[in-house]
This record gives sequence, C-alpha cells and structure tokens, in this order.
Amino acid sequence: MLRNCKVIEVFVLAVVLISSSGPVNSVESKTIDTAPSDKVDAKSTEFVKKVSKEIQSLKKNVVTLNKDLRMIEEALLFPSSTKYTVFLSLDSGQFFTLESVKLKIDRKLVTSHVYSNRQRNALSRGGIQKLYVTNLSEGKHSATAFFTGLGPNGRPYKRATTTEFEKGRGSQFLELAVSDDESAKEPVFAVKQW
Amino acid sequence: MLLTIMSGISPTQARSLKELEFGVILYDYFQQDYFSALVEYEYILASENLLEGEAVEVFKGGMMLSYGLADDSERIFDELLADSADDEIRNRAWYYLAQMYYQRSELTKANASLHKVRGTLPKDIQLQYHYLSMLINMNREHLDIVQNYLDTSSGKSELKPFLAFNLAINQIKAGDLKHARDNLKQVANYSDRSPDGKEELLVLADRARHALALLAIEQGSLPEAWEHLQTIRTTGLYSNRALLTYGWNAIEMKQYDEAIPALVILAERSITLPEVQEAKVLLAHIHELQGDKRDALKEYISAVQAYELGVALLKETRISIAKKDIPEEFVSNLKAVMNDSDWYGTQPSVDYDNLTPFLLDLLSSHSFQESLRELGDLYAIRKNLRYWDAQRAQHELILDNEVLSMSTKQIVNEINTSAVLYDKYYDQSLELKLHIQTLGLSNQKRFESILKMTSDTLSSAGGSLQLLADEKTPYVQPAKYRDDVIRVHILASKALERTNRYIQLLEKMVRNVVSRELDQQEDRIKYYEAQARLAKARLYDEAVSTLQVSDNHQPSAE
Repeated sequence: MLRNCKVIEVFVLAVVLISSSGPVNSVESKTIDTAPSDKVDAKSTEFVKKVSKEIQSLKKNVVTLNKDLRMIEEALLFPSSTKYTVFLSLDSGQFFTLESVKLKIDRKLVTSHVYSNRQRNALSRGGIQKLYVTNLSEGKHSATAFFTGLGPNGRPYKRATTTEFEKGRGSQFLELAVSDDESAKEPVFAVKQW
Repeated sequence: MLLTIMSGISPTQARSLKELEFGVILYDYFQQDYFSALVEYEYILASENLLEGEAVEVFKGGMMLSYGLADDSERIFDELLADSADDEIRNRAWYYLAQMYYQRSELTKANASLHKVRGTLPKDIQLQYHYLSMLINMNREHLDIVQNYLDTSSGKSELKPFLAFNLAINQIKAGDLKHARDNLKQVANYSDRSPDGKEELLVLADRARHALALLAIEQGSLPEAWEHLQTIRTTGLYSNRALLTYGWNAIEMKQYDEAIPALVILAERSITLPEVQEAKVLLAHIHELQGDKRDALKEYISAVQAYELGVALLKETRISIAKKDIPEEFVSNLKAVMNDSDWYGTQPSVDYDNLTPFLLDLLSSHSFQESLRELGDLYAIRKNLRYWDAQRAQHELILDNEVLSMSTKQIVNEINTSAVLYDKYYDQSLELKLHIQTLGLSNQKRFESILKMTSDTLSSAGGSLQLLADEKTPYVQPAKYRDDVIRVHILASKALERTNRYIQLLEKMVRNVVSRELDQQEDRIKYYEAQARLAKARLYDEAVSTLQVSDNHQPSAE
C-alpha cells in the first residue's frame, strides 16, 4: 500500500570516509564527501504542496466524472433490460495457471483475453475480472468458455465448459469460476448464473 | 470476508452479487490501478450494489490514499477511529493515517499515529508497518521490536531486505553497530544465484556491502573494508560509487596499483556521472603520486577533454529538457529509465535518457519524486479525459441515430416480413426432417447434428420474433440521456483544461529544479576541469624546469 515502498535511508557514513582520506592533497572528493540533502528547495516543495491540494480536488472530480461517463455510456450501449455481464474468478489457482480464456456466446466467439502475471496475481488474491458486457435478448442462450494454461506439474492444459441459460428481463450475470479440487488435485471449471 | 481478501491470505469465492461486484474493484486494486479501482467503487456505489461495513470504509480509505487523495482518506480514517471499537479496524486506520502523514512529510504526526497501534497487527500490514516505522525513524525501543520481528517472522517478502537495510542504518545512528553489521551482512548475502534474483535486490546487496566497507573504514580496519569492496559487482546501478570507494580505499592503504584498475573501469564510463568525473582526475593524481609523470600528464589531458565533453552534454541536456514532450516522456518511462541496466556504461541515445544520469541524485529526493508522481497522475488523467473527449462524438451519434431510426410502423412491417420468412423456413425444416426420416439409418445419423443445430437456431429466432411482436412500442432512450451526455462532457472538457493548467505549472517547476541541478553539475565538472588544467600546467612547468636544469648542467660546447 505504500506508494513508494522501497525508500532507502541515506547512508551518512560516506562523509567520514573521504574527508579522512589523508594522502591525496590536491584532489578533493566532491562526489561522495557531501552529506546528501534534499535537492528540491523549500520554495518548490511548498509550491508542490499547494498544487497537490488542488490536484487532489481535481482527481476526486475526475473519478466522479468517470463514474458518470461510464454510467451514461453503459445506459446508451447496454439498456438494463438486455444487459448481460460475464465475470471470471480464480480461487487459489494451485493446480492451474491461467494463461488465456476465450468466450463464445450462442456459438459466436465474442471475446478472448491473455493474462499477464499481474492480472493472474490479482485474480488469485480475490479479484474478479469483468470479462465481457453485452446485450442479450430474453430467451434461451448458450455460453462456452475455453481455458488454456498450465495444469498440475506444469503441463499444458486446455479445458472447455459450457452452459445453457435462460435470459430473463433485466440485467443478468454469469461467472466463470476456476477453482481447485483438493481431493482430485485438479482444477475445476464451473459456470454460475447469478 | 473483505479483510480476509485484503490480507490475501485466503481468497474465497463470491457468495453474493455484491461480493461478485466488489471483486471487480479488487481486481484493479491488486494490480495497483487505484484510479480504475476508485471509479469502479463509485460506479458500484451508484448502482446500489456495494458491500457495506467498516472494512469497506478502511479499504476505501487505503485506496484513496494510494491514489494520492490524502485529505479524503484522512477524513474516512478519522471517522472510523471516532466510531469503531474493533481493534483490527482501528489499527489499520492508524497505520494508514501514519502512511498519509508520511506522504505529506508530517513526520511527527506520522510517528504519533504509529504509536497508537495497539496489540497484534493484521498480518498483511505487519511488514509494511515496520517498514514505515523505519522510514519515520522511530525510537531505540522500536528498533528492538523490528529486530525481533525480522528474527522471528517466517515467509519471504520483497520488502524484507529493504526493511533489514533501513533497520541497519537506524541501528548505526543509534550506535548499535553489532546488529547493524549482522543485518547488513544478511542483505549482502543476496546474490544473483538467489532463486528470485532481481536487479533491485542485487543493487541493495551492493549497497549493503558498501555500507559494511564504510563501517570497517570508520573503525580503521582497511583490510576488512577491502574484503567487502571486492564483493561488490563492477556493473549495475551502484557500481560507480563502489568502484570509487574501492579506489580511495586502495589509496588509503597506499596500494596504488590496486586503485588504478578500478578507477580505469570507472573512468571509461559516461562523464555525466559524478563518480566518473572524480575518477578521471583521481586516476591522473595516482600516477603522479607514483612518480609516473608521463602517464599522469596523459590522464590529465584526457580528463580535460572528457570534462569539455561533459559540459557539451550538459548543454544538450538543457536543450532536451526545454522540449515540449520531454517531461511527459521522462515521467511515463521513469520506471523503465531507472531499470535500464545499460545507461551507466554507455552514452545515452534517446532525448530523455540524456537526463537520467544527470538526475540520479535528484531522483532520490522525496520532494522531487512527489512532484514527478503528481505529474505522472496528471498525465494519466489527461489521457483518460482525452479518451472521453474522443467518445463524445460516438455518444452524440448514438443519440442522433435514434432520432433518425425507423418509425414504429416501419418496425412492425419489418417484424411481419420476418415472421413470414420464419414460417417459410420452419415449414422447410419440417419437410427436411421428414425427408431425412425416409433415408437409411446411417444417413439419418449423418444429418442428425446439422438438423438439431438448424432447429435450435430457428427456435431461438422464433423466440426473439415473438418477443419483438409482443412489444407494443420499440425501446426509446429516455429524453434526459441527451442532457446528461451534454452536461457530463462539458464537465470533462473543463476538467481537461484544469489538468493542462496544472501540468504546465508542475512542468515549469520541474524544469526549474532540473535546471538548478544541472547548474550544480556544471559547477562540479568545471571545478574538476580547473583542477586537471592546473595539474597539467604544473606538470608542463616541472618538465620545462627539468629541461632548463639539464640544459644548465650541459657542458658548454666552447
């Protein structure tokens, strides 16, 4: 959570070393014999502090603005009566390293995603990805997800899971859930309709 | 559940729709994309699907703090501390408050907040808590607590070596040299053979070895210092300073022949580095001390040329920083620039790379880093607002298109035409089905799957057609959408203007600070240049005097 985690303390002993270096008379160290100080002057620091206050208010406004813009865009593109959202979750991931996923809805490929390490890590810590948002009419539909990655013992692993579902009136959600089956030591791929 | 997830100890599957939606915030949050996480938070809050409770508030406060919204997070934590009786919630709130004060450079308040933490800390922030306390320089008693934590805690963390290093430095300040040395040795043991060999940890290990060497020198044990200095890598971010110390240490031990190779390696690097500037003149001086005047003169002449090049490079850097997009390019690539393992050994090629070696010292300044971080956030905001500006045309197009779209009568006609087609295809499919049944069993099997697929598709189309026919009027977007789109885009334009204004202000400030730093660099190079020129002149003088003396001693030809 620290924004700048790896701050290293300034090592003041450097001063001692060079100033005590006796035999060299005509060469004086200007590189490591000065005690490090903050290079930004007080006036500039004060200026940044003042502007930072104003930037905080801008940041807050922009967050709210983004929320509003997103809500409006979604209202325009995905009316609540037809909106359908697909999520992807990963529980632990001990037996499966997710590399990519492809999603077909009503036999048409609608989206695919390749995961970076950072995204995989976020998923394994409890994050859930909003994989796809679309409009679906009421009635019967099918969804098929294809998962690729590394299975137990690091072997390439491909699995598909499919489900048929009835889309009703109003927003609906589907969760593609990858979890571990401790007893079988294998990953489990499930689809859950919310 | 949220605190468990935040701690990353045992992620659990979502049990409710609210948890599912909250997982989306966590997905951005764990990727350290705090802006997107906050937008998602506000979006879910507005959709009335947000989880509730103190844990959510703590999480929001932490997220805001991470995005640099210190004032708002302070308000959240103050409220929590006023209302909550839960120890874990209170401890988290105090920790985050301390972090916030630290970011604002209010160290006394940060220290006071950390002292308010009582009992056992949540596991996921223990290490960060101790780390923060080291940065704030807590008292001697606390150093023992952190030492105990390091001695007893199991598990690996990338922060641990940094904590051990900073603890050692604080222990040196407090006079506890024994523990300091042990901690530094522990950090110094890290090597590229470690399973998770990372460059930044290797650099830290070099720093620890350097610190051990300086401690040994301080205690007059030059041979021990020598041992430590020999283990520092001759490449990598920290190698310049180490090579220079190595050279000085050898001089101290009067082992001039040992100093020369280290200084030669250093002197071959870019003249933009302060250590190289010093090494150049020092190398020449060692030759002089050894009585090797010819080599000394050669080195002084080469040093003067290098300093002239350094001044020319500074001039180029000044031109670079004046260019319009350089600050943005530099800030956006800051991580890559800092991680670039090659720049210290070669002449920079890209414009913003020109800046890097000159600004290394400046980049370690907390205030300067804060300014660059604010600038980085502003550039990200500008990119985001420009994206929405581009979307504006699309939003308006969707609204305009609806006005131009088909009338209800036209839609009814379309549905009727489709219904006729549907009936026709349905009859055809039944005929085909009957026809297939007249075929032999093996042929029937061949057509089974294609027939099922056709039947499913027709059934789905029939269902959709029925739904459309049941609607009395087609979907029309509410009239207020147009007003909302216009209003929000006007606000976005204003925010973009404001962002550009702040960017201009901060860029100007950063340019000024950089310019002052470059002035200092120029002064230093010129100082060394003057030293080298004086020494060169002195050596020439001595040579001329020697020649005159030998002329005087020559027997007259007459």
